[in-house]
Amino acid sequence: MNTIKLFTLALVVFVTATAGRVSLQSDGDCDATGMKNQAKGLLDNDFKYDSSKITRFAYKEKEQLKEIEVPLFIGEKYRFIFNTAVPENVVISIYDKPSTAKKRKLLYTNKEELKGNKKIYVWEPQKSRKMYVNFEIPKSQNVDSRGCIIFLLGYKI
Amino acid sequence: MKKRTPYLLFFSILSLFLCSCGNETDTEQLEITEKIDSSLVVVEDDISYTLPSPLQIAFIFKQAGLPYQAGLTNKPENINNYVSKYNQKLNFGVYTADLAYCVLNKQSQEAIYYLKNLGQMSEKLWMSNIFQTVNVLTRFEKNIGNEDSLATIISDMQLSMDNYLEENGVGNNGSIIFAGAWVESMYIGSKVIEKSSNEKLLGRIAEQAIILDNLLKLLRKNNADEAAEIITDLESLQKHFAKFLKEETENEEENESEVEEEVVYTFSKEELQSFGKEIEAIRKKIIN
Repeated sequence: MNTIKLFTLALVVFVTATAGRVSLQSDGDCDATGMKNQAKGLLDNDFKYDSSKITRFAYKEKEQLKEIEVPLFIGEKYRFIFNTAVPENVVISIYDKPSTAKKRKLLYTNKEELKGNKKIYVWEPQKSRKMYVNFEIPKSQNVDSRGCIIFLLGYKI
Repeated sequence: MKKRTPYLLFFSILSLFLCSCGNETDTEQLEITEKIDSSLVVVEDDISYTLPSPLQIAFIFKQAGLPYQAGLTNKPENINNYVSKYNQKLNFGVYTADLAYCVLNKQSQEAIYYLKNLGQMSEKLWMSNIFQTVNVLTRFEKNIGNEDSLATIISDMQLSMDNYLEENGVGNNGSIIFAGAWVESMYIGSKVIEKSSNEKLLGRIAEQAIILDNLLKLLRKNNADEAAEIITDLESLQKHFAKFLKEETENEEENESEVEEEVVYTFSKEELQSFGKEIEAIRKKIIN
């Protein structure tokens, strides 16, 4: 009986310790559906929801780059909306070519808007063709911390 | 109690040790990854792709002058033919494209049949929530005749579906559903244009090269086993778009010229006929 109690106690300690570790690795503030709905509100009545992408990541001791390839129909009007839940700022840039191209043109970056508590970024391209969204995730000593970015695309009817 | 204390201490230390071992493993993996890619270059796992909504494809086709032609869409009663989950996903996509085509062409009664079908299929695919969340059918019936409101309801449904798939960890199903929708949209487009000459619509169909390219990348990445057959069929379709994809690739590799030449998407009548035949055969496999 005593042995059973002892094992139960040890199990509780183990589960508590493990749970603590797991919670450190959870998504934290990433309420993807809520963030998407918030972003959708910014489509106003002019744009219709087209597609969305959730990018979840863990910070590492080195910089990381994530890319989303976005096909757009020629001549159509689009609105790009990014809703971020990131403990450390992530640079969002949009290019005309993939990161593997030898030369590419920067179409948009949120670099100048990173000061303050801004979490949502909106951009409308002048011209529509295939575009490449890049997330530059900075290096961090806090490798347990995580973030997520919602990308939502709207088109004009 | 004194006798138990050492045991308790032993198990507690063992527990903490086991947990900390996990952290060491993570650190080791991180170091290995760092050695592999030391510069800021995107790796394949870090690339993702988006696809447009079937409603947008129907919209750009409509804008290009695609008229409504009765009898082209998949029959609502065919719903009973789709038994496997794979077929249900593909045909969920087919009916989504049919719904968009009907809505944008003011075919309200047909649209309601397709909406009801989608409701039934969503239950089979355990996605019934997507219809309840945005109260689709009631809103739809109330807004019949108002094309813009109906389009909003369908795009809300699309968002609701994307959320549902994401929340339930089955986001990969989205690519298969889209494959069905894309094939149906291309079938309708190429069938209608057979009988009328429309350069703008020909261009819009040819422009689908970039969508097919992204769709295949997603299917290969996420659904290679389950969707092996449709992947093979869609890969075969790529030959019709080869010239556009080659020009796109050349543009991506270009590093000297400041002024880029934009790819001009267009099909000749013969190219469209050949494409249309193949898409019809693929669609037949999906809906039968």
